[in-house]
Amino acid sequence: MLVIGFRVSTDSVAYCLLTGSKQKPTLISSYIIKLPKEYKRIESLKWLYNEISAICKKCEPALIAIKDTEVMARKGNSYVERLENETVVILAAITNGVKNFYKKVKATIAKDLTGKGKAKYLETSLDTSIFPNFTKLSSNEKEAVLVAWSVLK
Amino acid sequence: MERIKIMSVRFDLKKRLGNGYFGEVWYANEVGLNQICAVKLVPHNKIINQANYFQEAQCLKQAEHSNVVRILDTGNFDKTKIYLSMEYLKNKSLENEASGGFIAITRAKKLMIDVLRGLEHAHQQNILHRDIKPANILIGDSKEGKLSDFGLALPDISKLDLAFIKTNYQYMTHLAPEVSKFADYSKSSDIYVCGVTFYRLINGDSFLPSIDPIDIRQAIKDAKYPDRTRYRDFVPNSLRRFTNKAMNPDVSKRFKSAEEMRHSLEQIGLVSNWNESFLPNGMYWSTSGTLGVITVKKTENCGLWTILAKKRKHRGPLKRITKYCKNKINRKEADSLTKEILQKVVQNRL
Repeated sequence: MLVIGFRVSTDSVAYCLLTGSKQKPTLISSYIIKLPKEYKRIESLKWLYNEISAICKKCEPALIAIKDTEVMARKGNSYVERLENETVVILAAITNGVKNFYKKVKATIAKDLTGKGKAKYLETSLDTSIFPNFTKLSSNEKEAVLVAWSVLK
Repeated sequence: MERIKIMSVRFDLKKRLGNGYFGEVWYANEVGLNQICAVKLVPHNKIINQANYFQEAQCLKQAEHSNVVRILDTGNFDKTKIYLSMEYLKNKSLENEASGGFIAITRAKKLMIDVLRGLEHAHQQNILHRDIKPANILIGDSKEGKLSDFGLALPDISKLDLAFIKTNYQYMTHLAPEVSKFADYSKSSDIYVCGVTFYRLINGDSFLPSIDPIDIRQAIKDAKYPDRTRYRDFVPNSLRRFTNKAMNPDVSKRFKSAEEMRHSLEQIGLVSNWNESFLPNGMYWSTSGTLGVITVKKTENCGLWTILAKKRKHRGPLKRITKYCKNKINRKEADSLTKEILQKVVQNRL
């Protein structure tokens, strides 16, 4: 089962392709795509839709997982923009054959990966050495990997 | 016979949109679905692949994408012609829009991003377009660019006789230097052609030097056509480097894929467009947008040049930008200063 994990922000989208199982996941690759500079908002959203559509057509994932905004950060314009970007990601994915999507915050990811429902356990109880280059990834890419890993069967 | 009769009444041909070597394109109504479409009629003897009359339509179908013109139907029109029915785009082609001049730089960027996205998809399907040029980029209803005319996008082109194309000057000016026969054509050659197309869009056709058809291939191989050192003054250096990389005669130094080229273009920030006009003794540029109104005047008097730059943020009179106003300077200084201010405004760095 191929899963794409996304960590969306206002000006970029980090995503990773993950396959295998929860016990034995394989990170195929991870990328960061930056939204084009100086685009109007409407053009950025359309650009993002096209970009995610192309990724989904190319990779044909079974499902996608999105790292949701932490509850404390759910305020302000940047949150609204991030939410709009996430919506576009979901819309592009489901119109291109993806059957389901998940949105998870750190606590839920930790619960699924370590059995303990607190964000701090992602730092303390999770062995990420299973991914050879995990430490070299950016923080957004790491979050994309973890959310994708948490939805693997 | 009856079948042909039925076919011939399927389209109500209303207006001829254009014609070329390969046939005619009509604005038509498809009677069955009562839908407006563009119908390309190609005589049998002009079809490149005589073994498969419908190969262009099949390529279009395979390359189906939001940045590729949509094919609706194909078949025999009558005993001598086939038809390709495609979506009708009322905004016509980029060549119509440019009319030989340059296109606003921010718009050219967006259109090229669209074209590269369509090309990227076609390349993923192992389809080489081989004929990218402004006339083959149509403008969609949301002003997006759409690749059209896949007449040369045939899989087995090396086996076909394409001698007639070598006499087409316009086609030869867009051909990548490494292509001496059609079998040499690669994805990288399509990228080169995108570079040439982009050069034409941001500069206008007047920036293409006039070269004897006999010398054109050598000039392309020597990277003298198009002239990589000559751009409109307001084209920023980042965009010049981008275009020159796409047009690099050395395949290994070009962008590796349409995707890489697109991502590179997307990261070049462009915010303003300049209008350019000639004065009896110089040039005049003006722009209005998020930065307000800015004008730049470069005039010559007795061999010495004057630069006058003015700006207005909101309402009120235009005020001089003292830093960029110079009197009695030589041509080199005047050119350099004008380029600096024009490019800074385009990139929002003023």
